[in-house]
Amino acid sequence: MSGRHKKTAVRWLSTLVAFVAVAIMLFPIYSIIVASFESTVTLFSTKFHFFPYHPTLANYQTVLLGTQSGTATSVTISGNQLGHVLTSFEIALGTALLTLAISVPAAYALAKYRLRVTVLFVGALLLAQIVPSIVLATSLFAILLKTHLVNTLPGVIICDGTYAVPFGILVLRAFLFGLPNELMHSARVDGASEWQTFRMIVIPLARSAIVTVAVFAFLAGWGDFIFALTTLNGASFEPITLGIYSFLGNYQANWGAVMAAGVVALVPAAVLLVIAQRYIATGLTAGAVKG
Amino acid sequence: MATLSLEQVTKVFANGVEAVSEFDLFVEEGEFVVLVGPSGCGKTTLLRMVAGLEELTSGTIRLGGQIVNDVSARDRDVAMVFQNYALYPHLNVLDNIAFSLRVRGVPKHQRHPKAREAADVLGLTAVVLRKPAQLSGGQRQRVAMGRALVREPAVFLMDEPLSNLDANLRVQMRSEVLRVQRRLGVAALYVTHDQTEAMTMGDRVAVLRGGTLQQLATPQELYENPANLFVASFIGSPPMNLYEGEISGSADRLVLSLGSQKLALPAESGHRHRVLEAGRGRKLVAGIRPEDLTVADGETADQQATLTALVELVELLGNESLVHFSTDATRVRNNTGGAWTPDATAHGEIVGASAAEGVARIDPRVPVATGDRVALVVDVERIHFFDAETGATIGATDQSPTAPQQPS
Ligand SMILES: Nc1ncnc2c1ncn2[C@@H]1O[C@H](COP(=O)(O)OP(=O)(O)OP(=O)(O)O)[C@@H](O)[C@H]1O
Ligand SMILES: [Mg+2]
Repeated sequence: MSGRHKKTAVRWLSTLVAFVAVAIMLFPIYSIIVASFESTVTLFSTKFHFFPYHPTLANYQTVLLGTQSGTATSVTISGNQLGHVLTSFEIALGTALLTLAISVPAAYALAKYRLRVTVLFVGALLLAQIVPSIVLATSLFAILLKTHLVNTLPGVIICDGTYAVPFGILVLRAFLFGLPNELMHSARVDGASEWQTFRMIVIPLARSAIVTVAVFAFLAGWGDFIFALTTLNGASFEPITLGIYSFLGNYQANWGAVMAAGVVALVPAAVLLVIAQRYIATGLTAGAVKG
Repeated sequence: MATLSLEQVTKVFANGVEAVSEFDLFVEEGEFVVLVGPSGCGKTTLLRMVAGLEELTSGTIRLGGQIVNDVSARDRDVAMVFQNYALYPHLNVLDNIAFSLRVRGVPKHQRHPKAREAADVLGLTAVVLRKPAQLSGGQRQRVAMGRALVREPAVFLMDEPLSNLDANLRVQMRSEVLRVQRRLGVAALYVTHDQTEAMTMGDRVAVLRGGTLQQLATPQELYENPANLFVASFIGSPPMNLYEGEISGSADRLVLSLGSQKLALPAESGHRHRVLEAGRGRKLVAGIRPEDLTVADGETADQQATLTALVELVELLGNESLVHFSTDATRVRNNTGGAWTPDATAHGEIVGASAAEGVARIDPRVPVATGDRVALVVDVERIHFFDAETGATIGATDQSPTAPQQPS
C-alpha cells in the first residue's frame, strides 16, 4: 500500500471512529427528544422506537403550560416549568458573573506576579477540584445557615462558584502564561496603570479564555442539582433540575413530562454553546512579538 | 526633555548572572548615544533598568537630575521600543500608536490625528487600520517606533529598532529617527548590533562587553583611538588586522617583528614610544586597519615598512578592492564575533603559520590577482599596539576621560 493510500485510509478510519463516538454520546439526548414526544404508555412498551410511535405534544403542554394531558393513566402533579427555567437561568448567570469577577483577576495575579505562595495556592485549587461536591455540600450548608443565605439565590450561586471558580482560575492562568510579558511592560512604559493594563490589554487578549470559563461556569450553574437540592429547602423558587422532580410522585411518574422538561432544560444551554463556539479556543496574540 | 545619568549601575539576576557591572554613562539633553556590543552583553538589561522594568542591584539612575531608582515605569516618562516590538495584537496600528495617549486620557478626536501623523511619517498610512498580525515584520517594527514617536518623552530608549528592516528602509529610517529625536531635543539611548548604524547615528557610542563599558567616545575617536583590543576588533568593517608581534631594536630605531617580517617604526618622542621601548622583547598585539595597507609598486617600495603577503582572494567592490592575504605572522582573533577573552590575547588563536589572514582595502585600479605575491606597504604611523596580557591600548594614558576600563 502506498503512503498516500495509507494516509487516506487512516483519515477515513479516524473519521469513522469519531463519528461512532459522537453517535454514542449523543444517543441519550436523541432518545430523550424522541421520548418527549411519546405518551408515558408508549414509553413503557418493550420496543424502542427511533421515531415517536404516537407523536404527541401533550408532554410539552404539561411542561410549558401546566395543562393536564387528558389520558387516564397520566398524572399531572404540578404546573408549568417556565418559572424553573428562569430560576436556572438566574443561577447560571450569577455563577458565571461571580466566577469571572474572581477568577480573571486572580488568574492574572497568579500568572504574572511571582509570589512564594503561588505554588501552594495553585495546589490548593487543584485539591478543591478533587473534593466531590456532595462532600462540600454539607459544610457549605452550615456556612450558609450561619450567614443566612439558605434558601436564597446568592446562596446557591456561591455554592456553584466553589466548583467553577477554581476551574476558572486554573484555565485562565494557563492562558495568561502565554501572554508575552513585553506587552504588559510596554503598556507600563506607555504610562498605563496596573488597572489600565489589566482592562485594556489583558482582558481583551484573554477574551477567548474568559468566554470559555464563563460558558463553563454558566453550565455548571445551569446543570447543578446537588447544591440546589441542599441549599434550597422549601424555597419559593427552584431551578429546573429540581423542578423536573415534580413529575415524579411517590406512586406514579409522568416520564413523558420529565423527558420534555429535560429537552426544555437542554435548549438554552445548547443555544449558548453554539453562540459561544465562535469565541472559544481562538488565539488572539498573533503578531504581538517577533517570531 | 532631560539628561540621563547612570552611576555605577549593576544588575545581578537571581540566577547569579551579572548582566551589567558598574556602568557609568551620562547622556546630555538632545544627545544620541548608541550602545553596541555582542549578543548577551547586557544592552537590553541596561535599557530595561532605565525604563524602570528591571530593578537595579546597585547604583543610581538619574533623569533630569532626579534619582529615579524607585520611580515606577509609568511615571518615568520614557518611551521604549522593544527588541521584539511588543505590539498590542488586539489593537490596530492607529490604536497601537495612540495607546500612550489613551491611557493619559487624551480624547479620541485628539489622539487619532496625532497617531495618524506619526503613521504617515513612518510610511504606514496604507495600513493604519490593520492589526499587527496582518503586518510584515518591517511594518511591525515601524509601528513600534511610532508608539515611541507619538509621545514627547524625557528619554527615548530603542532596542535594535531597525534590525528587521531591509537595507533601503533601514537607511531611510535611520535619518527619520534622528530627525524626530533632534526635533524633540530628547536624550536617546539606542541599542544596535550594526556598527554602521552605531557609527552613523551616534553622537557618542558606548561599547559594551560582558556587562562592562569598554569605551564611550565619538564614532571617530572610537575608530582612531580604540581603548583596547576588544573595541579595536569590534569597530570597523572589515575589522582591524591583529597580529602577535614583538618589539626589538635600539631606542631610536625600534623594529616590530610580525612573524619573520620586520617593520621599522618611526622615531617618535611620545609616551607610547617610551612604553614600547620599555617593552622590548615582550609579546604584544599589533593592529593594522585594512586601509592603512597599500600595494607597493615595485621599485619605490620602502623595504623597511612592507609586509610580504600571498594574495588569497580579491573582492572587487567597485570603489575599492578588499585583498585577503596571508603572511606568516600569528593572527590574534576576536573569535565568535566578540566573545574574545583577555587571556586569549596572550596566545591568540593561532590559525596556522601559513594561513594567517589579513585584509587590505586598496585602490581597485591596482592590478592584483589571487596567487600573487605582493609587498604591502604599512602606514607605520598608524599601527595600533595593545598589551598582550590585558588587551589595553599601549600608550593610551593621555586620552579623554572616557578612557578604557580594563576587562577584569
Ligand atoms: N531575566 C533574566 N534572568 C536571568 N538572566 C538574564 C535575564 N535577562 C537577561 N539575562 C542574562 O543577562 C545577560 C544580558 O542579557 P541582555 O538581554 O541584556 O543582552 P543583550 O545585550 O540585549 O543581547 P542581544 O543583543 O542578544 O539582545 C545575558 O547573559 C542573559 O542571558
Ligand atoms: Mg537585547
